[in-house]
Amino acid sequence: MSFLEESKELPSRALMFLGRVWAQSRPGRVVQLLAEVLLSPFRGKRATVRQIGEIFVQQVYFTAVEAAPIVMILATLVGGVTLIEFATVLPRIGNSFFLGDVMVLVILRELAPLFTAFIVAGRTGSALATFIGNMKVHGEIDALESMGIDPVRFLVLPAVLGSTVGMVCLSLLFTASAIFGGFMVAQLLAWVFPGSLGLDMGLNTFLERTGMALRFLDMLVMILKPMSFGMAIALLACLNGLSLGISSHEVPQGTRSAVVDAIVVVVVLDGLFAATFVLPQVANYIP
Amino acid sequence: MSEVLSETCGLRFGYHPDEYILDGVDFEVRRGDVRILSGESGKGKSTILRLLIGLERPSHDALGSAAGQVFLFGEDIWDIPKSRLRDLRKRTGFVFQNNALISNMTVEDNIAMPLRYHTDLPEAEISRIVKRWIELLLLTGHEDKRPAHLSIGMQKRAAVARAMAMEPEILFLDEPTAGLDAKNTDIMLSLIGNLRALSNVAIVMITHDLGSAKLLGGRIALLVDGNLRRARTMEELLLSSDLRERELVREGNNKDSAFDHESSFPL
Repeated sequence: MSFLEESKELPSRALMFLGRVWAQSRPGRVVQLLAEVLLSPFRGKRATVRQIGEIFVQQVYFTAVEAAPIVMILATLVGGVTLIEFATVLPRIGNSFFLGDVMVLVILRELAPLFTAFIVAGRTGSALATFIGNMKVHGEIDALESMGIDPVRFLVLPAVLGSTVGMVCLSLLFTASAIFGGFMVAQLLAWVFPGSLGLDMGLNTFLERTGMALRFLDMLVMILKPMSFGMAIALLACLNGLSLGISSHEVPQGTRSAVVDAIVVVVVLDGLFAATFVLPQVANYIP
Repeated sequence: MSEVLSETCGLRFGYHPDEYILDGVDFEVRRGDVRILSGESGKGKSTILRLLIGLERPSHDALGSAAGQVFLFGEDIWDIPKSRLRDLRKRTGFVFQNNALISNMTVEDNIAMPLRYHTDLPEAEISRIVKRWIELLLLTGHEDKRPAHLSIGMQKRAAVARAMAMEPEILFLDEPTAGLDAKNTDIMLSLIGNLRALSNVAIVMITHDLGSAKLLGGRIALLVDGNLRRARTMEELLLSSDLRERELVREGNNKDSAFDHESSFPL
């Protein structure tokens, strides 16, 4: 082959090399798995919907229903602590009328999705990675493949859907519980320090102030953030489980990676959400 | 001559670059054939079986080595998309050495799984098929148990029932009698013989127990130094001019087995 012909092939070879590097990298594998999950509903028989549906319901139950008590307790405490912190600061800069904005901004936009994601990563992510990892090391994934069953459609799709729906439900529950916790603490502070912190208000006023602060964008974030977090946690858990070899010793490593990866990715996604939804608003205030 | 179901041509395969554990495997299975694969442990017999249904494929990350061709039902499985390969696998059954039953499912659900996934059969029909296999594989009364609550023999029979649920044209068995006592070995072998008589399924079986396996009436292919030798009858192998082959056959033939034709289970 002449030098000219070789140089013509160089760009395509470079592209192929980059493609391979990307396909083997962790982000590349996550994107690949996501693409397979998105395409998998269109492959296979409709009859599998029943089997997949069962796993989906189990996943929602495990992610949302079983975690509900701990999330409610945690959220009530977080809501209370958040209100205490801001109730002491807000009177210094004006009055407590902005309490609703604070609750919406801090809890609804940030704390609820983040705290819930950490709980889901610790509970669902670890359980899912262990479950799929055990299946992998015991040859059950190969057994599915040998029967012509697509593990992505059979296991990963319902797990991702279930975790996503469960995460959204749990995040909403966290928000409601945190606002309730905040209200209870407001009542307590108003009773201990009557009139001093501007917290003497009924439940209706408290909810009204919170509701006034709520905008369409917040509601959008309230759904989109937990959706993306839930999807990322489940995808990473499945990927870590499916990437294991044949040794049982690898299962705890896969579980650990699933949780750590999920926490890192959730924080990165949170930053991306802030950049997408908040920065444009900040730009409006720049003269 | 009957149709070729599975075939390899000049197959070479290794898990590391330029290191082949299989070095020149030419093998074919026709409809109704029985092929016994034997040889020393850890030399790649299970890998051949996994290659035959595409559970091992050449990797694109240059970590492994592979050459040659593997055909399943006439299609080069290294050259087709995964979705097509899964379609072809519906026509095969595979019994793993460790059974690989889905641990969180009952025996009944394990057997019904491929039927529920691949067919639009109503649940009543699926239950009827599953019940039939449960009866044939002597698992009656254990339908609702999970694999962990079964003996090794029952687990292996459940794995065979699951592999047969879709009535495959070719059944791959990876040491189906490993870890079984003489009585359970006999039961398993006679059941496999019965399945063959019932459905004319082609069988590819890995075993070290040639004394029992020869009773299935198949030809034996020995894997020696990564090379799969031509399939021959036990008598031909015992008269082989190759000392290694004769040794391997004698070792396999001397395994304890109380196999008795009369103990076969009538269908």
